[in-house]
Amino acid sequence: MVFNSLNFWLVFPLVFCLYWIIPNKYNQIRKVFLIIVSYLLYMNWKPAFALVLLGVTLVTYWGGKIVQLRDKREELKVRNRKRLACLFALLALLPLLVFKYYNFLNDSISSGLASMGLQFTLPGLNWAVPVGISFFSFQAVGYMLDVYHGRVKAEKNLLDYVLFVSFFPQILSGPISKADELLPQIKETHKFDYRQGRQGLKLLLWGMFMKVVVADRLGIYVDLAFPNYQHMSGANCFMASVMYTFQIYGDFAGYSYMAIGIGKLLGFNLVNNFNRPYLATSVTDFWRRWHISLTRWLTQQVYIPLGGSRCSRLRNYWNIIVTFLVSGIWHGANWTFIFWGIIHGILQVIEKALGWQKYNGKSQFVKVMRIMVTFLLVNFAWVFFRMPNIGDAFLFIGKIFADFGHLDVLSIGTTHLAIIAISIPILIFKDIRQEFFFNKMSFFNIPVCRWMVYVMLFILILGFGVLDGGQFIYVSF
Amino acid sequence: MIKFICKILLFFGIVGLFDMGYGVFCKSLTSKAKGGTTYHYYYSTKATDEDVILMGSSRMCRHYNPTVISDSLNMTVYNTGVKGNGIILNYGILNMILERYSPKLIVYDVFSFDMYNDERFADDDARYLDNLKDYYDNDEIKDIFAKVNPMETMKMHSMLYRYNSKFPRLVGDCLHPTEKYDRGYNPYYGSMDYAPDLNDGRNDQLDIDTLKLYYVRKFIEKAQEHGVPLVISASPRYGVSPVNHYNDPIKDICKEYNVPFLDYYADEGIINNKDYFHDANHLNNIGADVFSTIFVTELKKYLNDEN
Repeated sequence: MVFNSLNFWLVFPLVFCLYWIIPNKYNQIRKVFLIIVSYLLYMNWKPAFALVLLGVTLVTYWGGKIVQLRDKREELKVRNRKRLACLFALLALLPLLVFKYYNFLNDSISSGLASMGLQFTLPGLNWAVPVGISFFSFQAVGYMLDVYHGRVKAEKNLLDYVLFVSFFPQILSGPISKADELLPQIKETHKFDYRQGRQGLKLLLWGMFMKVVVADRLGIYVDLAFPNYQHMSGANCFMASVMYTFQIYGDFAGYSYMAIGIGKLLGFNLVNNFNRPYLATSVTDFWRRWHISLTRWLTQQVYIPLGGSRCSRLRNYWNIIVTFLVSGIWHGANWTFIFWGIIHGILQVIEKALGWQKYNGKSQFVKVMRIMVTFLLVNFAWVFFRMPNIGDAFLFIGKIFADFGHLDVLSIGTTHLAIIAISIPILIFKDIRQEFFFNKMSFFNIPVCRWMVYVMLFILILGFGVLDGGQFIYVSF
Repeated sequence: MIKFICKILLFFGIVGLFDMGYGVFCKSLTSKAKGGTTYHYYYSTKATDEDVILMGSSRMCRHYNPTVISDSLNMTVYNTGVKGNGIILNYGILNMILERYSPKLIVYDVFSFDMYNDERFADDDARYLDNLKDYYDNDEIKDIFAKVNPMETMKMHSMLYRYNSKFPRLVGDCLHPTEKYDRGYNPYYGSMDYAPDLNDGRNDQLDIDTLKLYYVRKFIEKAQEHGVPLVISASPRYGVSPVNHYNDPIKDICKEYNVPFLDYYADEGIINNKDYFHDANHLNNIGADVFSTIFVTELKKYLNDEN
């Protein structure tokens, strides 16, 4: 059940009321209630998926207990602990590897062998991938590895840990929480906090706007343009690529904000996952602002164990490439995602080699130019993320440069164009204001103005959001 | 918590007031449209009085020239074809037309929207309700919503939802309509200058949508109940095989109800001529005139035989 569905909004007010009706002294009952709700919402996708979720939860729970350094004598068994940690991590990641990557690996190996004249095929799997498996697997394995490295103590309370892994606001699309962030909040008793609740509603509203008004609206044209780029001018291809760049931001960040907002409504503070990523002054800076929780996970569990930056320069560059290779693989089972990850790795290596990771200068002109260049680099990299294969991605980008031609804005359709012309500037304005003018424009703090903004956003969601499948650009190729 | 709940209720109260006013404003814009798609939809449902009503998807809208048909039949003709829509929407339109009068003839052009699931959309059938939202107050339309997607009936209490994404079009069609319709006919211009992908199942029976076929039956029954002669047709499609089973589900229903099916889907005089096509699924204005002439000749023969 996704947050932008009517079904969720019929269920959630009930969940909210029942949760807060349970008295504070019965915190255990509240936790059980949240676990039941989380599992029921998860099973709404497919009941069998809950077994995968439970399996990963139990493996990492017991794995954490087993690998925990209990006393000094345990240090003698470091090698065993490392092997056990690897074993449990692999067991916990096994469903993710099988469901998400089996067919990709099978097809890739078969194609590779076929190109050498060898025929060998394993049967494909026709199983749906459990929703959110990439997120909850990483969250659970991250916990276990934190225990192994001594960053947190192994959780003794199974119920608390089950809730940590299955907590419904974040299970589908993150953010990926750390154990030392979320587990203490699960243990403490929450009293309803008006300011936290209000903040949650604001994030919910903004997230919904980003998702249904910005992202889903842009997606209508993007879904038409990318598969049919051969029939479009390079200018229209470029426009489609920029629209996809905003679509993926609206979609992912919007959903994250909704997740954080719902968490706050229940008294939990989840980590912020996006920090105005398209105002980054370098690709390195971009990754400090985009999917922050994943960057943090990869830094702690991949980059630092490889040696991080505490090694030779060449080794450091290698560590960056490998980390982003893993990021690419995590994002999807296709060579395009791997290529996308490697592009980001290479760009960051170049920035590091040239000392361009940060901009601390005072020139606004240089800052703006860096923002624009970073935006364009990220924009072109997203083409690989969207296209079904690398060849098409290169042809798409090639068309932009070799056959720019005439920009036909009206091909979007006047209705979609009008709505995009309203929604994108709102998004850009908010990000720019927060980044550069946060203490200015204080009239937004006046309650009447704030309320006007909230009402306007809600009206835009209901009036201009993509709330059903009835909206499309009807064009044939 | 009480303050929090009160503020939420106040918020929804303000939105609710705006919602009601918005509905009234949009309804008035709908009736004041000077042209464009808004006027076309409004006229099709509320104001047609022509002898012959042409119904269907964009293939009806772009393929059947009312002027050619009208001149040949010596009857008034209006083309109510709606782009990207099929039988679910058209059953609703038919109900609204028949509430006002009984045309002398209805012609319905069939396509995939009338019989097959479209796997590109998670809830394929519900998307055809979009153009019926404006008329939700009509009892027959409410029944369609309840049958196709009961959850939609809950959302229809909101006027903002009913007119979702339509405001720019409503305003545009009141101030400066851009889409030109000639008695509902909205032809494409220009020929196809590329080789289209024809591997889209255009010769085969695809995944049947039983709800759509249910409404095909309801459509026929409704027309017969009001004594309105009905002819179902399939206009040409580029590059189809002369022997194909694409329209078989509806052909079978036509046999069941003794409704004539005029099949031009694989008309060899048209389907392989790129000059007649704007794209793989639509004729251009030249192809539409050629096809309309052929179609009306056959239609006249059928009407004369019936008389």
